[in-house]
Amino acid sequence: MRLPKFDYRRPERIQEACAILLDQPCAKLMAGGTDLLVNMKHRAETPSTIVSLKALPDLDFVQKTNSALRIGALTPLKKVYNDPFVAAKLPALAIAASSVGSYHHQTMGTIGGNLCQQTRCKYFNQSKWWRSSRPLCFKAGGELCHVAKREGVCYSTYCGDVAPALLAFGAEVILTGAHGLRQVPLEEIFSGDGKTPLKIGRGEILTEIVIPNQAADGFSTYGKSANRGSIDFPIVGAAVWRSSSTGESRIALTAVDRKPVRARRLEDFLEGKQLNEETFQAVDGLVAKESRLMPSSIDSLSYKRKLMGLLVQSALSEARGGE
Amino acid sequence: MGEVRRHKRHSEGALHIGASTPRADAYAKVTGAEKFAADYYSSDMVWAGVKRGAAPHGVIKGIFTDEACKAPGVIAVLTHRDIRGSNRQGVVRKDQPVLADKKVRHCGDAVALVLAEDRETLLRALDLIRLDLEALPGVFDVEEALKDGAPLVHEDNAGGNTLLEAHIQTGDGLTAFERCDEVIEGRFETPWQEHAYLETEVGWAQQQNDGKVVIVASTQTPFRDRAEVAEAIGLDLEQVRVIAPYTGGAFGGKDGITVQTLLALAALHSNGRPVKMWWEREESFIAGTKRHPTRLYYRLGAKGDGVLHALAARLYFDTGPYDHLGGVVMTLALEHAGGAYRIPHALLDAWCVYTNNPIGGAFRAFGVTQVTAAMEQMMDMLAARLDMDPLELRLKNALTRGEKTCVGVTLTGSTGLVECLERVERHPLRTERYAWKAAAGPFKRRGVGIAALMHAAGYGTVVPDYANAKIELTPEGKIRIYCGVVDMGQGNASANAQIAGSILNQNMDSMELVLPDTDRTLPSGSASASRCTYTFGNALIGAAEILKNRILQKAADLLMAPSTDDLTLAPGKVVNRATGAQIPLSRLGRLMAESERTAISHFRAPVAKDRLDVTDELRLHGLGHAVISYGAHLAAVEVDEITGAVEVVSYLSATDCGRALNPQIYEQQIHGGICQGLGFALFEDFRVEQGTVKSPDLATYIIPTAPDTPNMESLPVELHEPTGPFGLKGVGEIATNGPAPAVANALADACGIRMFRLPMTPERVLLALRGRETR
Repeated sequence: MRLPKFDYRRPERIQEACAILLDQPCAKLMAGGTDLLVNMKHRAETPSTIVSLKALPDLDFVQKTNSALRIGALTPLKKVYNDPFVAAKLPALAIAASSVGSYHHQTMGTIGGNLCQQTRCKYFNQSKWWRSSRPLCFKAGGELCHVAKREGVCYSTYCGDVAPALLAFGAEVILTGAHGLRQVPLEEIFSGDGKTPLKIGRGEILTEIVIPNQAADGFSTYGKSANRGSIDFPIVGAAVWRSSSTGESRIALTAVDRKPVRARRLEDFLEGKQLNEETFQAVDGLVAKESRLMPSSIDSLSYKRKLMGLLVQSALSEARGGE
Repeated sequence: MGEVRRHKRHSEGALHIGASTPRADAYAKVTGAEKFAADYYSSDMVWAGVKRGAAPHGVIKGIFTDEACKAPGVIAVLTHRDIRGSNRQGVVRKDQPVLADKKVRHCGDAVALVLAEDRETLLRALDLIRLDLEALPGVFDVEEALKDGAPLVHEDNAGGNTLLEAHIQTGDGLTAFERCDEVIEGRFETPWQEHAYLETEVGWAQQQNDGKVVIVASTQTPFRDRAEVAEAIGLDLEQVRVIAPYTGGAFGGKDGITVQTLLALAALHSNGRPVKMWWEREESFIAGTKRHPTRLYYRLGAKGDGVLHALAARLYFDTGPYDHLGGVVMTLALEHAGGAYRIPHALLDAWCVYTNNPIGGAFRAFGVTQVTAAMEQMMDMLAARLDMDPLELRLKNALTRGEKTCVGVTLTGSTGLVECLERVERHPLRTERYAWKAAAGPFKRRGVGIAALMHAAGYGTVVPDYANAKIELTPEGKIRIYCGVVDMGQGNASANAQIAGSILNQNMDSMELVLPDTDRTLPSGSASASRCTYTFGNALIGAAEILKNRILQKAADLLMAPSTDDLTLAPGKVVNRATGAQIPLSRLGRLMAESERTAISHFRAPVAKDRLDVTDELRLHGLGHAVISYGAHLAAVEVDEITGAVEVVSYLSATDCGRALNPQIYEQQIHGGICQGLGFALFEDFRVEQGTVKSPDLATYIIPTAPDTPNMESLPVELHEPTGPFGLKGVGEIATNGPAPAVANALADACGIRMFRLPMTPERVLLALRGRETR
C-alpha cells in the first residue's frame, strides 16, 4: 500500500507550524506518523499537506517541577515509560505507554500523537477498495454511519491507551496557538463526536502534558484487554487512580466510546467507601452506564461490556491490596 | 535471472547427515541479500493489476474499459476477450477463469487486467473500469448448497454444487454400532485459515524477442504452472519458462496459480517490457486461497474396555467457487478421518462443495488439520465417558506396522505412534501435571491435553510422485545441485546440500544450488505434501553416487592409480590414500567433459498397494498413501476464568520423523507448524458474511505474535524409514494438526467445557464457561 501525494512541510518554530495550519485547512500535523500514515495509505485521510513536527525544538522532554510532571508532546512513548519517575510513581502511564502497539510504535510514536490519534471503526480503517463496495461513511466524507445505520453521525471509537491513564491522573494539556498558549484539562480536548474527535482550535497544537503532583501520591494502574500480547489496540482499556491520602478514586476507560471516558458515576459511588466485595458488586452496572458502546470493532458488545466491569474491578481490587 | 546460490560464512568441515548445519539460505536472507520474486525490478517495468468483481455471484452483462484505456499512462486493459487459450486454470478440474467471462462466482474473481506505467496510474485506471453485473442469489453454506433448488455456482457441473463426493465403508459399517458399549457423537466446525505469508502473491514476467515468456514467481509449483499458463493463454509449453526463487512463505497458498497466468498474459501485451504484479495484503486475503472451512459430524463407538469398534463420519468441505485442490484436500482428510487407530468398522462420507465463498485450497496439512481437530476431541470425549486416561486410550488403540487404517490402507513403513505417545507419557509435563494444575492462581484454571497425529506424505496411488535430481561438478571444482522443488522456507535446499555434501565429502562452501527453473532444473513435482526432501532427496542420493564414481574414476585415471579402491574424496580434492597423491576438484572439473561431470537420477515414491474398494476418481484424488509420519502433542494451558483467555504455557511434541537430516531444521519445521496450528486453534477467525470478507487485513484477522507462543519442546523420534533418504520421513505438515485438539482437550481438562467450533476465542470460552451453547 502506498501513500497518496501530499505537500510536506517541516517548520522549525511552533508559530510557523500554527500559521501553516491556519493557512491550509486541509493540512494535518504529523509527529511519529504511526497513526496518520496508515490512514493515508488506506485513503481514509487524505490531507493536502503534512506538517511534520520533527524539526520543532524542545518538545521532547520529561521534566519534574515543584508542582507537576511536564512531558513534551513529542516525547516518544518509550522515553515516557522508561522515565524513572513515571515508572516508579505513575505506573498507570508507564503500563499504558508500554502497551501501545508494538515496540516499533513505542519508539516512533509520541505521547502527543497518541493522545490525538484518530478514532477507529471497522468501516473506516479499511482500504479504499474495500470501502468502495458500500457508500462512503460519514467520517470518510459520505452521509451514512454504517455502525449506527443513520445519517449525519459517526460512532467510530477512540482507542488510545495513554489517554485514560492521564485522565485518571487529572492531567492537563497545553495548547499553543499563533498568539500564545492555554492550559486546559485533557478531558476538554475530546469532542465526543466521532467525525471530528478533537476539540482543539484551528491553528492550535498540543505541545505539553502537565500531570499534577497529586497524581504521584496514590495507587494507579492500567488494565488492557487485547487479542494478542503485542500490536493490538485495546478491546477495552481501563485506568484507575486512587489517592492514598483522600481515598478519592478516578477511573477512565478507552475503546468504549467516541472519546476516552471518565466513569464519574462510579467515582461518586466509591467516594468515602471501602473497597470490598460489596462495593465491587456495583461496578458492572455503574461502568456500563458511562459509555455508548457501538459495534465499531470486531469484538462483540456483550464481551466488551463484560470486560469493562472486569478490568475496573480487577484494578480496584489491586488498589485495595495496597491500602 | 538464473543465478546460482553460493554460501558464505560456513565452517570448513565436510557436511554430515544428522548435523545441525546452519541453513544455506540463512545468511543471505538475514542480511537482505537474497532476491525474492518480489525483489525483481527494472527501469522499463510495467505494473499490472486486476479489477475484481467484488460481488459474490452475478452475471457479467458488460465490462466497460474505454475510460481506463484512454487514461494517460495506461498501456493496456485486457478482458477475457483478449485470451487466446482456454481461459481456464485449475490443478485437477480446470474450472477457474483467468479473467471471468460469463459470471463472477466470488468477491475476488478477476474481471479485467490493467497494465500501467506506475502503480498510481494503475490504481486510477482500475477505478475507471465499470462493471455491469446482474446479481444472482448466492450460496454460502455447504449443506444448503447441496439442497435441491440451491443456486448453482457452475450450471454445467453434472453434480450440481457437488465437486466431489466419496463414500467408504469398511467392515460392517453402521451396523457395528449395535455392538458398541459406548457411542459418542460430535458436530465440529472449523473456519477458513489464511496463510498470511510475509510475501504476498507476486511475480515478474517478460516476453523475450524469440516469443518466449519468462515468469519469475513466488510459487510452489513451477513446472505445473508452466503447463497451466501455456494452456490457459494459448502458448506452447516451450514458450513458457517459470523461475521460482525462495518464497517469502507459501504454506500451500502458492500451490498453484496466483499471479502467473495474469502476468504471462500481461507480458504478451506490454511490447516486450517486463511486467510486475504484486498483490496487496487485502487482495491476498480476498482473492487468495484459504484452508477449507469444514463441518464435521462424528460418531465413535467403543467396547467397554476402550477398544474402538466403529466410526461414522460425514465431512463437508467448502471449496468456494473453484476446485483448486478441494477434491484432493477432501480425499486426504477422508484417509485421515479415523486417525492412526485400529477401527474395524467404518462408514465415511465426504462432500467437497461449491459455494460463492472465498476459494478453499491447500494449506499446510491439507485437510488433515480439520479432521484431526474433530477425531482427537472425540477420543478425549470417549476417554471421559469411559473414565479412562486419554493417553492410555490412545495407546490401547494405536496402530502398529502391518495393521490397517480405518479406510483399509496397510501401514507398511515405519509406524511410530506408540513410541511418540510413550515419549510424551514419560515427560515431566505429563508426569507432574497434577501438581502443576493444582498450583493455578486465583481465577485461573489449568489443564493438560494431548493429541495423537498421523500425516501421510506424497501424492497417493495414481499421480506419479517423482523427482529428477541433477548434480554437476563445475569447471571451478564446485558441486552444483539442480533442484526443481521449491524451497519455500522449509529448508530443503539446505538439506540437499547436506545430502550431496555428505556423499561427496564436501563442505558447504563447495556447494552451489540452482533453484527451480523450468529451463535449468528437471521436473520434480511440487513443493508440498511433506514430500520435498523425501522424494528429491532419494533422487539426489542416486545422482550424487553416480557423480562420486565418475569423479573417482577420472581421478584414478589421472593419478595413474590401478583402481578407485585407494581413492577418497576430501573437501576440494581427491586423495590417493596409498601414495598421498592429490588432485583438486577444480582440475578434475576442467578435465572432465560436461557429460562426464553431470549426473542425473530419478526416484518415484512408493504407493499403498492395498486394493481399496473405492472409485477410480477417489484414487485419482490420492486415496492410499505409503509413507506416513506420526506424532503426539501435549498442551498445558491456563484459562483466565474472568476474561476467557486461554494461554498455552508449555507445548510438547514428539514426532516420528524418520531420521532428522538436520535437527535444527527439523525443529524449525515443528515449531512453525505448532505456531500456525495455535493460530488456527485460538486466534484466527476469518470472517465471511454472504460471501464478503469481513476480516480483510492483519488488524481484523488476528494471527499470533511471538509473545503469544508458548515454550515449545520438539522431541524427534527417529525410527528408520526404510524407503526414505538416510531413513527420513517428511515433517513439513504434521505439527500443524496437533494444537487445535491438544488445546481443546486441555481446555476440557481445565474447565470441563468442550469447544466444537474454532477458533477458541476468549469470548467463546467465556460463553462456554457460562454454560451457554456455543454453536
